[in-house]
Amino acid sequence: MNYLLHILVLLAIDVPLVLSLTLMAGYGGSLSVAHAAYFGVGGYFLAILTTRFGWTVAAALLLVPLTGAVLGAATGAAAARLRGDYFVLYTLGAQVLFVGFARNMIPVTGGPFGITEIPRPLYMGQPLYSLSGFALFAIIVALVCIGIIVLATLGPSGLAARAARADPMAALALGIAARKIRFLVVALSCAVAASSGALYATYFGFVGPDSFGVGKSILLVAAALLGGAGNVQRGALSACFVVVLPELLRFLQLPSQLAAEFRSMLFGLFLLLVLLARPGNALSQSRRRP
Amino acid sequence: MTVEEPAIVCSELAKAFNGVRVLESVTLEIQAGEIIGIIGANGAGKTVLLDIVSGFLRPDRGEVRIRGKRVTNLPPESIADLSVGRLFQNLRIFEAMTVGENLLVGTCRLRCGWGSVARSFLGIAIPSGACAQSTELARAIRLFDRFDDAGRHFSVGQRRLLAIARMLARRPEILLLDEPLAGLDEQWACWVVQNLRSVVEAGGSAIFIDHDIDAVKAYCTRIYRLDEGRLESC
Repeated sequence: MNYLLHILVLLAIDVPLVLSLTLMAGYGGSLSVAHAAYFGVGGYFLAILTTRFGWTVAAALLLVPLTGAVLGAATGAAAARLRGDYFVLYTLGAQVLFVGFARNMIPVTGGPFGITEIPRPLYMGQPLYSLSGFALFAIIVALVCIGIIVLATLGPSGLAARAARADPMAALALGIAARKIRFLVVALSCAVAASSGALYATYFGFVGPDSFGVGKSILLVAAALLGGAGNVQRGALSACFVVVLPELLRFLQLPSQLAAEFRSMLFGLFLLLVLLARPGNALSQSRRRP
Repeated sequence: MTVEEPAIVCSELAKAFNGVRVLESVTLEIQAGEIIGIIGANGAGKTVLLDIVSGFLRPDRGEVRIRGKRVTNLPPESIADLSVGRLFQNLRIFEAMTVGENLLVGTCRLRCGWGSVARSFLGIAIPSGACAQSTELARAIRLFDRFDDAGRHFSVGQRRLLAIARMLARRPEILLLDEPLAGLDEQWACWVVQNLRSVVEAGGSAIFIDHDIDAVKAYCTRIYRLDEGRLESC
């Protein structure tokens, strides 16, 4: 039961995280390879506020999305000017910068050893150590994040963002402020990613540079693309797949010394096969008409 | 609309690309209720003129005023907000989006200010009035049966009708039309002209670019020829 609750918490962390990248790629038209960095900023920020300044997790969780949004706004400003490959390179730079900062700014981030003893949220004055209680808390946070993303994609903003992505010139001629929309989409996406990072930090009680590296960013990109960037339902399904598959592979009877490596390889191989079989829209029900 | 102010005033517009002069001292004034036809050979600068008026290009010299407001340095979305509708020669429909969604982008009448953009993120659903108008427009261009088909599945003529309907959905008062009748049969050309006249009769105005001099003569109140960057009255 505890194992299932653990998976549930992982899903509550990763589903909004993947959806935030789906939002950025599908609606902002900007594929970020720095999403683990925004995720990490949320984690570190909550860790610093709670362990060094004595904030409660709940108070820190209110501020973390704002931090993510501010950082996202900086990225959003770049996204408004840079397109395609240039934006990917820009975010790669941001990702490398973040990991370098986390690894080397020891007084702030704890360096390679990270920050430990991050508290859990309080419930009735007591830390929420019960896994079922924390799972409920995580699901509530996740649902709020998912709700914000759905709101941004369903209404006029979603329509305008898709139009601006499809043909910026036509969108401008229809009065759509393509740059402003892209800017806000990216800021919102980063705010959600930071919130997921905060949830991660309070769940595991630890943040370190290795948790938020380029590998994590690439995995997030794979998950977002697996669902077909821009589709919220398939993005959520894809996130579940990315979380659950490595866990399912644990049940394979592999030699214990090699189990982790084998699992990673099998997971990578499976992802490759799925993407090759269904390029661009791996989890869709049917292929698009030619 | 202020009656005294001309709908569009272009003064001494000049534009060159890599040293090649495309427009040279183009001056044009369009009053409310007028349809101005502009003809000219390929590469004469007709589309460049529309791009400058709609804000997609900045002139090297000269200025554009729309209802008295100087718009020369305004971005295209701000010019569109002044009730200016633009039809592109290459149509530019949103190919991955459905007919309904293409029309909704117009009928939602999104505005470009920060407040409007931020509010659009708080809207849970598309306004029902916008949905109803999209349905009505889809029926008018006989694409209602294919409301949920992506734009890329349509013929050039159908795409043109969709692009025109999408532009009209915003209820613009000034129309900038780049070859609006190309590829349309007589019935649909009449539909386009009828809509164009409705806009103009309601106090709007239009610039109509075409190669077909007969069409331009039939529908326009004044006709100009753009030749080697210069605008001459026909």
